[in-house]
Amino acid sequence: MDDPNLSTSPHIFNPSPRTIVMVRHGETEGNLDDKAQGHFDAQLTERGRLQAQAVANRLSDVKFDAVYSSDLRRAMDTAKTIIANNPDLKIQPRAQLREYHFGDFEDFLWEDIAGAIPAVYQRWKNLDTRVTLEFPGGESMGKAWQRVGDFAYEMLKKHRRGNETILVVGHGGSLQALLGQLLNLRIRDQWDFVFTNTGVTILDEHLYTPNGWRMKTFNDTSHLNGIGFAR
Amino acid sequence: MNTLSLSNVLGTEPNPNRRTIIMVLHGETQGNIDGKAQGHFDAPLTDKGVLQTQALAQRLADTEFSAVYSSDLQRAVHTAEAMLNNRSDIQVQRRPELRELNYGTYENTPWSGHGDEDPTFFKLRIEWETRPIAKYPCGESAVDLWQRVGDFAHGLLAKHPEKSTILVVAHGGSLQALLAHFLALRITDQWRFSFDNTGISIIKEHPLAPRVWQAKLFNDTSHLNGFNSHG
Repeated sequence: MDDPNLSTSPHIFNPSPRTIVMVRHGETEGNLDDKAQGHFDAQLTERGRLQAQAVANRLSDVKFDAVYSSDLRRAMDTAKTIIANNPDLKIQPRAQLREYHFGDFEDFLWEDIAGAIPAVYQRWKNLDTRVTLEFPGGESMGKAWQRVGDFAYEMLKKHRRGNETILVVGHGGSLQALLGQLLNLRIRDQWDFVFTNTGVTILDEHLYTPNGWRMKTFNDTSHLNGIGFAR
Repeated sequence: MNTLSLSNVLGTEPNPNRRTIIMVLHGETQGNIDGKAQGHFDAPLTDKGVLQTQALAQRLADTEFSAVYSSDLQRAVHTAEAMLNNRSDIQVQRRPELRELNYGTYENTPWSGHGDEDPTFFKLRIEWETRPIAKYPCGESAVDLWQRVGDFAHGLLAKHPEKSTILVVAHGGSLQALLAHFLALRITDQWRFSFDNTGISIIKEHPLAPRVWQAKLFNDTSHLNGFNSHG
């Protein structure tokens, strides 16, 4: 509420703010079992498909100018459901929006990872050391931050016309990195934000602050009444 | 490092005293409609503001609060009381620390005029990097507000060490500071978070770690279908 509407003011830097709508994919078996899925290409569960349909209904009034999605199936299927009634829109699949690569431990239960590689797991659990940890055969959180940052830079450069609304469908990890970078947070701060399956998050640009991306909504799941979600 | 977050290391045992804080911005006032900086100016809710608080009360009717804190300004107190309509067992605790920023000589004046007379002050205030020290004439700076809201947050945690659900009703500025304190963000990060009238935000302690707070929901206004919120 502190943010003034300066539409009559001479101090406007950005007269045509953009909006980014972020949606995490619907539920998979791995979400239910508490697994590190990473690049493992899991399908939506039946409830996951219901969640995708519900978020599609929720966003049916929003006119998207572009749609980006992780190229993994759980994200693509969620994105396809959301834009099913918009034949003009094409999903742009991006490998940069994939979840972290958990290497040799893809599709493992988190509790089994804790038992198998306790030292790595301890580093994961300390939010200050998490960023440099690399899963054996996988990638570090820093590398994921970099590739998501590359995506964000490309996206913002491409959509410079202003007043555009862009949909991004991704994963818990990649959406945390995108949120963290658009809001100019420290790397460690991204993990303060917990995305639920098909939760809706909205960022927009401030009228009078350069690079002034703001959070308008985070993880709104009010469309899931009666459908439910894991955890 | 923010002292509220005393640890960045997540434990291995579940945290049995996991606390939840629900933050709500007061309902609409005439100043919100007119684009004015209200600060400590004690405006009442508009008719629409009262309707918003009723919708909010319905939305949270099933939530049991352990304690309810509110800014002592009437737009916040009335919002909090509307939510406790049928709950005689609990009282609103009024806290001046939760008031909006004191805009000094600019209280109850349009945002668009701020700084027209003093370009140096305007420049300080408009850049998020310098905004913390922009002190309103005869009023407060964001650092002043950050300190008193931090005092409130520490007192709150000390008073409620047990598992509890705490409601805090306040203003855009004080809620931004409160959220940033709990998530251990920098003071300059707080303006990235844009609260609307009666928007609901929820933070929760990490399931494995006391004093590590996570955002679960931000600015959910789905109860306002049909009548909009100003933001």
